[in-house]
Amino acid sequence: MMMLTQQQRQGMNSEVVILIAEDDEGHAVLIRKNLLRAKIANAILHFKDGQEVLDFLLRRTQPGRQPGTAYLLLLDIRMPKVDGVEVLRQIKKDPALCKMPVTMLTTTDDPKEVARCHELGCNNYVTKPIDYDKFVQTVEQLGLFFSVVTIPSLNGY
Amino acid sequence: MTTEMQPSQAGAIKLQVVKTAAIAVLIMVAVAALGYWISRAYVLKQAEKNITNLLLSHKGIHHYVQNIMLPAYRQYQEQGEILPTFYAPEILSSSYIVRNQHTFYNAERKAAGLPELYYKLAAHNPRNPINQADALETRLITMFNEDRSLKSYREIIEVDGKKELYIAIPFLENQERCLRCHGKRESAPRQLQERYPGEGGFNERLGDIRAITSIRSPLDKEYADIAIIVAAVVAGVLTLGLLFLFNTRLRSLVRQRTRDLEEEVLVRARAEESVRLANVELSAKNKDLEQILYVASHDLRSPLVNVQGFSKELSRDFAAMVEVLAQEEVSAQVKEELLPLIREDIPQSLNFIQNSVTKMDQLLSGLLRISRLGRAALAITTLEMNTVLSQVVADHEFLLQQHGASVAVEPLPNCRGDQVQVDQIFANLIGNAIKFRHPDRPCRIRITGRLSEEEAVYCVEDNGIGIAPQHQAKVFDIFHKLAPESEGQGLGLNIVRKILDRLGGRVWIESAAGQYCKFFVALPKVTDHGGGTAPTG
Repeated sequence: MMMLTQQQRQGMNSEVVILIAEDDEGHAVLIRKNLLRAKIANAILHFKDGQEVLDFLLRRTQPGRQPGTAYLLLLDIRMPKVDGVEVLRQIKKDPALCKMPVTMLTTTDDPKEVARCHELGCNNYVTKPIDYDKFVQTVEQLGLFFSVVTIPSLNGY
Repeated sequence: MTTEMQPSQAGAIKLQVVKTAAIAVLIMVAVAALGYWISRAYVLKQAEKNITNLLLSHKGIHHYVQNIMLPAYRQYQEQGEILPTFYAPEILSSSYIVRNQHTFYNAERKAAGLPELYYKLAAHNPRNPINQADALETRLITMFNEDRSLKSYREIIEVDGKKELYIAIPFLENQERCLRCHGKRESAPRQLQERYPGEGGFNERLGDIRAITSIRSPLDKEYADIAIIVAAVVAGVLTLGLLFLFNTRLRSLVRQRTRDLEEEVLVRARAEESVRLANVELSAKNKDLEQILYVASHDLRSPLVNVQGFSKELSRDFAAMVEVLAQEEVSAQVKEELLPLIREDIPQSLNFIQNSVTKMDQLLSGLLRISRLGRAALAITTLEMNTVLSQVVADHEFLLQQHGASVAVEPLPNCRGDQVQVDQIFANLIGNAIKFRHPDRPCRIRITGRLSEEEAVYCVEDNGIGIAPQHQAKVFDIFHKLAPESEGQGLGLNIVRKILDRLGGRVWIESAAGQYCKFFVALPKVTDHGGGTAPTG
């Protein structure tokens, strides 16, 4: 298991809001717990399907995305209404959203699916392992990932 | 293809042949009749023309005698050049001249190979008996005298068994000048009286028709010509008719065969179409199945993440609880009751849960692998199987050493296939041989190959525990495990069969329980035009 240094954790921009699009409540809880355990204390917003997260990002619901705030998205693929691949496609073609980091976090390790998401421009692809220890490690790595990438704040338009 | 015609079809053809034959006979008869009629008309016309020519030429002589010789004769008499009493029919009678001239004419005709023409100036009362009318001529003289409007008589008669065209034309009606010689005997020229002592040729009456010109032209040769022409025409028509009949029959046969063939083609097209549709349906169903398998295994994994995740969370929570319970403030009774549960029962339950989840996850991974197998793109190339096998064996080196097993690979024929998939086949078979080795003897694996007519057949043989005959059919089923306690998900042989289905190959088994097991793998062999020189994958 990779241990994160205090310095690395401090490197994480605490202003960044982590968005989790995940239809499985349990998975969301596990992700949140493990992020906390990895000392990632950023604000976390949870969306139950692709439609919800798109509505938030495109400001179709209140409260919507805040101008000037930096976001990153953990995106499941198989979700009701709008699936993760479609969400990714819409984000990447929107000039206001395309710079937001998107990490696919899904149970599918199908190489075709992985390739498709990379083609569409996802920043990272993480398979949810069934093995809990691996899961914890994965989330820890996510924390590390968040700490080293510079997350652009999205401007207001 | 049906070579025998249906009875109804044969009947139809027979009827058609009869109809055609009847029509052909009718046409033939009509043509023969027409030919006969036309030829006969032509022949008669030719005969008539001959006669007319002869008559005209006779008329010319008559006119010459009447208009030139007789006036000259009289003039010479008047001038005293000729005695007034002189008369000679040889030089003064046109009938005499014509008749005798005709004798020479016939002689010339005969010499020229032509049939003689009968000619006679036939009279009731001839001066020369040679001109005496026969029965027919006598009847005709009477007829012409009774009906002056008749200008000729025409009939085909038979003389001595030969057909001839007979034509009679009335001679002049008696005129004044005729009666000079044909009137009373005593008023006729003296030489005439002396030459013809009888009453023949005298006592004619003014206005009577004294004689008829009677001419015959033989038709036999012409009739023979007609027979030849008609026979030729009939033979021609008969030949044409037969050809036509044959042609009709042939055409009806061709039509029938064509219909049969068209029907056959149609039936085949229908069969092919239904096979094609069945294939389309099958591949659609296969695709559906792959999709269902993929989605199901994926979606089934999601809850498992929770089950395992939260059971781990529980373990973690219980570990924290143990620490709390260990504190001094907690009563001995609580400790005594809770600690065994938290330390033993609960971890045991959670352990079962987690093991089951792991097993479930493995099954789902297997399903996913199989569903991916069906979707993976194939790259078919010529495979150098000894190279392929040495790589597969090298990949298993560690496992082989670990179990004291060995593999002998003999020279193998090449084949056509997808390298990744073929690797998988032999990896699974070698893996199985190691897994199901006999506990009493070291595992020996032998890989051989040969070419059959259409395939390259490989055999992976081991000396392991073998498979009893009653179980052999089932070993290729999905998730089928003969030894439930053995590791793995019971997918290896199912995957082997699936791959071979896709590559157009086969797999079968030969085994004796407790002794050996042989897996035969057949793959398409390299053909001359199948890219024998293609690089190996």
